[in-house]
Amino acid sequence: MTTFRPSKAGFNDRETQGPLWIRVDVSIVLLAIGLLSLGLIVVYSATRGIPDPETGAVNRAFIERQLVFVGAGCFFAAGVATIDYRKTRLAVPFIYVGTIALLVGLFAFGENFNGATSWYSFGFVTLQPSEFAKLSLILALASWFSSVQSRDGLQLVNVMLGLVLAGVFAGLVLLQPDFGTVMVYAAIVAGIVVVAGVAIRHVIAVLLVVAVAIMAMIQQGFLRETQLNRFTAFVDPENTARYNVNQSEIAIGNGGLTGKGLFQGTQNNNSLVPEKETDFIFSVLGEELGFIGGAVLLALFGLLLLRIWRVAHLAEDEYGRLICVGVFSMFLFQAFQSVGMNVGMMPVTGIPLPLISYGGSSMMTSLLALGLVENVHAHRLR
Amino acid sequence: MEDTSRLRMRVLGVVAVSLFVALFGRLWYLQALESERLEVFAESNITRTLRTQAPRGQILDRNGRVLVENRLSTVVTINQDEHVKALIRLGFDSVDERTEFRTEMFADLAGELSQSGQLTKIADLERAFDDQSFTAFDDIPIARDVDEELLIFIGERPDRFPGVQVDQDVVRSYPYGEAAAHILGYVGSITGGELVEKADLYLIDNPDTDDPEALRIEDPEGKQYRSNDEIGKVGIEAFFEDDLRGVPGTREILVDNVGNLVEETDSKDPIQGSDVHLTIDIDLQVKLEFELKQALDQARLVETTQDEEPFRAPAGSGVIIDPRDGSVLAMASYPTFDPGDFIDGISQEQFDKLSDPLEHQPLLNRSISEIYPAASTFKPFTSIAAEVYNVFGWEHVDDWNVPISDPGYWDLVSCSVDYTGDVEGALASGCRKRNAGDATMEGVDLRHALTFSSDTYYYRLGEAFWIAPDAEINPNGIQEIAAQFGLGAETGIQLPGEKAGVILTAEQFAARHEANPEAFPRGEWGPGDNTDIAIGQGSVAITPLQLANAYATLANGGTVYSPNVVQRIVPPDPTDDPVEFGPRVLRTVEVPPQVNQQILDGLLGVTMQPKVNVTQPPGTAFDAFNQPAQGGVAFDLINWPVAGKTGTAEVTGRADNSLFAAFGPSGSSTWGTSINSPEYAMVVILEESGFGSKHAAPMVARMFDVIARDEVPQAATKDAGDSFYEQNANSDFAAAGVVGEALDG
Repeated sequence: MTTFRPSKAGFNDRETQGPLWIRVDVSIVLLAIGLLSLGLIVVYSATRGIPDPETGAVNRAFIERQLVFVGAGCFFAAGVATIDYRKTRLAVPFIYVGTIALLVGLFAFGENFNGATSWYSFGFVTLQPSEFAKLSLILALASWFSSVQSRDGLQLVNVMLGLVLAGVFAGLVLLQPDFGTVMVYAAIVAGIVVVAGVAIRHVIAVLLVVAVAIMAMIQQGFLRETQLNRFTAFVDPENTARYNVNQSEIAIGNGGLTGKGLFQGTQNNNSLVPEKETDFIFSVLGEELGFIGGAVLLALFGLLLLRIWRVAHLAEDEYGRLICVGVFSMFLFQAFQSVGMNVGMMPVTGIPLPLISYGGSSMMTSLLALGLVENVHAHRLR
Repeated sequence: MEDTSRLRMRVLGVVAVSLFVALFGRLWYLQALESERLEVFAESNITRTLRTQAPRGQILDRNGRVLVENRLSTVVTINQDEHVKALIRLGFDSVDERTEFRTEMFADLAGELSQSGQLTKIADLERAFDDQSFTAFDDIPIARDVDEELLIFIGERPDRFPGVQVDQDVVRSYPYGEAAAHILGYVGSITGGELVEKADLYLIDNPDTDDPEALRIEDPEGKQYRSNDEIGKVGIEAFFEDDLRGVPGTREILVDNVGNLVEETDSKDPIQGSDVHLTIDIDLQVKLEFELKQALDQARLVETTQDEEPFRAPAGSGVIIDPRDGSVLAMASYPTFDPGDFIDGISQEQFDKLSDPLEHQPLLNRSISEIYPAASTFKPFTSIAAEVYNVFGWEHVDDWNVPISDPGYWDLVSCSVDYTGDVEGALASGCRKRNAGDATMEGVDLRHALTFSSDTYYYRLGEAFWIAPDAEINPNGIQEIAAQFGLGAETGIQLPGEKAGVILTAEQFAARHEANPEAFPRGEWGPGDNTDIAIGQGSVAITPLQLANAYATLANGGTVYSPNVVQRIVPPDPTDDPVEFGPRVLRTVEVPPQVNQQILDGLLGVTMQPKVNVTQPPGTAFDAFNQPAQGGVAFDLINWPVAGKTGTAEVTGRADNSLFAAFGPSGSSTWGTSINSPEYAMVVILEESGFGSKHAAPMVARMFDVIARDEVPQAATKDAGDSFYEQNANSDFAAAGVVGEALDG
């Protein structure tokens, strides 16, 4: 740990001075490139379909779109990283309100896929506001807790108000309904609340409130039966939702240590695992690249989280630190939940694997989040 | 940064590290420790094995004519999976909608099928659709051999009949219709019980463990049975099931998650089963079945007097064996059935009718599965026993060459009371045994006793076995000689369901009584039991095949064969050697030559007017072989001498069974012919048809007549529409001179 602790004397000029592309954390960029490359390969394998026996033609539609998403995501991430996060802080309330508007607008203009109204459809592309809302939430909570911290300390009322900020998003997303994304919000809140320094007794009080809220939602039928099923499938092997996990486990086990080889996974090629290009993308990686591939992926995520954690340490103000902690919590939870679900450790909830899963909104959000972290890194000590 | 903040960051770090350690652990568990098990699941996820039934082997007669073959049959099937998928494509999203559509479709389909001549109920279709022995992916047959118009009609309307297909498969075909039905048997779908029984064939104890549960299945040929497989139920089809059954073809295919075929990885063509070549001559078989029915039909027309039981003539049996090697040339049982009715299953109602005793059990093969008293046809064996065990010449019994006078009855010497003059008293006490019709004869020696069927002569012999002490005469001598000739025991013919029959000894008689006193109230063996046995009545119960085989042994001079109905099994691969059965000699019976000659002479006399003593009446089958006006044939006995014995078996409460057992061509120098090379031994038993001389003997005469003149008509193959008997009556049989008119009683 000591190696990452900054000492005033040891500041590296190269990191604090000069143009942006010099001041970014290169490790994060390289790790992201590594994960993106691995993701593109696996998404291609999951979506190419069975080659036409005569022409050998495969389905390139998915991978081409994913490349566009990655390209656009990198572009916008660079943009996000450029302008000092402190200078845009005044815009956070507007971003927050705008996000609410987008989430509310879904009920009027949203498209329903798989039983959830979570998308705006613009013909060739769809937008999932609840993904972008993660960033909005990180900025809002980081801003709120850092400001109340310095102004009048973390009183319970302030903590509760911060939770209300998150609760509004969570409530709107639950109505879609999309339980998985709400869990990511909860992880973001938890990370920021812990690092912001909320007293343990407050945390307990908050947990009680959340527990009561969830009970009430179940009572009121806000959670659909399928979502409860998925959740309980985790402990009840007879449940029909268990099928997905079973097939995923079979795929991963089939991969063994070295994998079946790219494009060679039978579970993948026969589409035996549902949602294999999004929520169950790890099963494809596990089957075709084996334990080695899975370990590389987890290592890349681990190192990326380590670097984000380091940037949080380096951050000169509480706002920047909490942004990094929010991003850290988001990545940590999503990676753990997604891989955990694929290997049968976690309940089935539709959460994409950041930087890997197919999907524009998720990809953009993940890249923009890294852009925020790089922003904090690049603009410290200014 | 404050220290508390740093501490809280560390908390976050520790959480992250623990979560990642957990993920690594789980990943290692799945991919290193559990991988082998999960790989098996992955494999089975994508492979399916489809089986195609192999055609069964053919069954042919001794001259290579096909008796059972396979034909392509059009079949209308329904496939649950395709049906449901098609309905979803058509927009029937809910189960209720689909059920409603299906109900209407079945009504529609049943209507169309019924209109085309295949009476079909809606319930039949529903039952087939819900049949649990088929999987959702099987094509379930619902109608067969429907007319072409309807096939096209159904085939062109996938929207009206979704999931219903018109297909072809292979079914059994019987070119000669009902002919030899009892021998051939029939096939049907395997039952649950048969499946379990057959599964045992493939269960091999695991040698590596003592655990009784650890059984493994060894089926290198891939012949193991599955639900809905065809299996032989009776007859040759059942007995040679393992040979006739082919090796099913398999197609290993890869499927995707919805079961669509992705790729065929391996396929094995089905291998047809082995052919079974019978010893049966189909011409002779068809002729025999035809004559059997004719003889019974004629017997039924005979008027009987008030105090006699009517000749109902409901059933009968006929067997022809080659005495030189024990081959069964023909074997008939009446009433019979059509194995073609069993294609695609038979209704319970129809099956019950075929098994109903009130309908005389058409499915029963009387030649091997029904037991009858042998009656006078048994006398040659009593004669041999009397010679072997020294009854002839013992005390009051004269030697076989001494003619005696037959007053028409025999008063048992073991009865202490003298009934001379008291006929009623003698009969009532059971001490007087009478000839049939109280016939009296003079100059009866062994030979004549057979020719004229003197019961008195044999009562005397039979009683001697009872009186004589063990030291001089074996009291079970008759039973032992009969057993040597194979009477009262299974012959070992290659057919299932053979009955042993029985010829009881005094000890067995007593044991039977002790075991079940209610069914067998009498336990003590008396002289009357021995005299009954001596004339083939009482405790003598044999199958027609046993009797034919015993006469074959008389004909060939003492060799007892286990009769063959199958010559050889020919595997489908011409490089594999056929399995030949060859003659199966069981044993040789030593018949003292002098008495053997007497028996042959006596049996020869049965069919002729003995020239030795013209004052005597002709043999009991003289009319049958010499008097066309009396319902017989003008038989060429000079060139084809026939030795035979009539039998008239008493059955309580019914008319007598009519029997005739014979062999030929077999002459004797006594009768002025040197031809003695028997090629045919034959037995006919007609139930409730009166004297053996009246119906059984003429039938044998007609059979031997066409054989002797080498004019056995060629059996006609079945054409659509004709019943079997019509078919054969209208063709060669008319030319062969079948006697059509009724015989006089």
